[in-house]
Amino acid sequence: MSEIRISRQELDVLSAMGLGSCIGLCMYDPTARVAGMAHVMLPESRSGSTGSESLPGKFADTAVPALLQQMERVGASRARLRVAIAGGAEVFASSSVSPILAIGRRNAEAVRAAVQRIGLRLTAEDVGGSTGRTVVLEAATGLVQVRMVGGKAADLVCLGQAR
Amino acid sequence: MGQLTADDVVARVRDLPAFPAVVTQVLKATRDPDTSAVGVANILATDQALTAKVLRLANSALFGFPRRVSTLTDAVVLLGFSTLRGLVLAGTAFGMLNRRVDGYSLDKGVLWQHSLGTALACRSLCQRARRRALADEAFVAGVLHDLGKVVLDSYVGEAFSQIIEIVTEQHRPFMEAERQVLGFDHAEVGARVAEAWSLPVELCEAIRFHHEPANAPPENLLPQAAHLGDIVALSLGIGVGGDGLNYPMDGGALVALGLAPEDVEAVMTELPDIMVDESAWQDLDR
Repeated sequence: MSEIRISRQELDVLSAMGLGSCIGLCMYDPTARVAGMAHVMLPESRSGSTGSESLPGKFADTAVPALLQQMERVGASRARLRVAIAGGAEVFASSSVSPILAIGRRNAEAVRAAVQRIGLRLTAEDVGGSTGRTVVLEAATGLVQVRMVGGKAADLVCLGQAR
Repeated sequence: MGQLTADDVVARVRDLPAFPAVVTQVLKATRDPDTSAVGVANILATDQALTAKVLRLANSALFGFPRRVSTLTDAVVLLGFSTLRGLVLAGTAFGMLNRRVDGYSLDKGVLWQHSLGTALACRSLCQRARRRALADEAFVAGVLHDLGKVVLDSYVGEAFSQIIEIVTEQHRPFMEAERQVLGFDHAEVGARVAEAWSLPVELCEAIRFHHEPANAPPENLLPQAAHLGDIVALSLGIGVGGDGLNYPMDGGALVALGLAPEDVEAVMTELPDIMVDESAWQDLDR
């Protein structure tokens, strides 16, 4: 959880497991073949809250720029990056109790907004519902696969392919 | 297999490993105001494995005591009866909860992670609500809330596609679908296990009503705490199984405890940091 990981190793597979309301954020540079993933738990960091300095991956608003920065450091180029997200599930009726508690939806919106702020757009997303997910990103190809816990796995998108 | 009868459930509960007599004695003694720390320590001392567990946990980063705790009496005094009860019950349930539960797509250790995460969330929520006395009991409720899944494992495994179809096609919560297909749900079965173990009625109710706290007697706040703690853990993806997040959230639980939505979000924010500190629990497998 809250981790940011990147890879340029062809055989590597990055994964974010057990995504409840969390978002697995995948970014891929198809030319430099840099893969990056963040496991985002909450929509926004707040001054004074624990973890925002040491684990930027925890919050959507800090995770996106932090992941970008780490990927750029190993040769990724922002303009080439393609992005996919998965997760953001919720228990039933959470938003009717309070919009604050629609954490899954808030996470998805916050990640989308943060991606927009760095000048990018999502290529693909698999968010919402109430099923747990695991998302996997292959470093060699940029293939993003989403597996529903207790259910099937499906390819979401291949971020390595030309638009 | 299909539907279970009440007798089936009784038989399955009886099949479980016996609840250790020493633990029942410890629970009784620590609820008796006339018991001394030495008295409790003497009971613990009759069981070598339990002694080792208590001392290991007392010396772990969980508590951060400044000097080494080397005697049971010291441990009992330093921890206090209430915390000790929680440790002993959690340590006892660990064996059952740490196994794989294929029916719910839970690999080995995942149900324990979920139970521990829920327990810590329950405790944090009660602390935030300034209900310190409730916090330790809520911890135990969190540990035990999904005990029923271990008993229903094979039944749910066999009927899973039927159960999940009801969830997805009819948008019904998972425990309702369990009831429809099996005749019982994991909350009810878990409560019966707790009753077979002679655990306090408030704890049994917390397990029974953790998905539907509004159905519990209102003066018992444990079901409310367990309900919210479970949701916190599920949202963070801690031990999410095949049943997913297919459960309702009851806003009444917040009201009953005197919590705001922001409190729930705050507990979600701190929980992963707390869980890293609680790695001492992993040692219980030895």
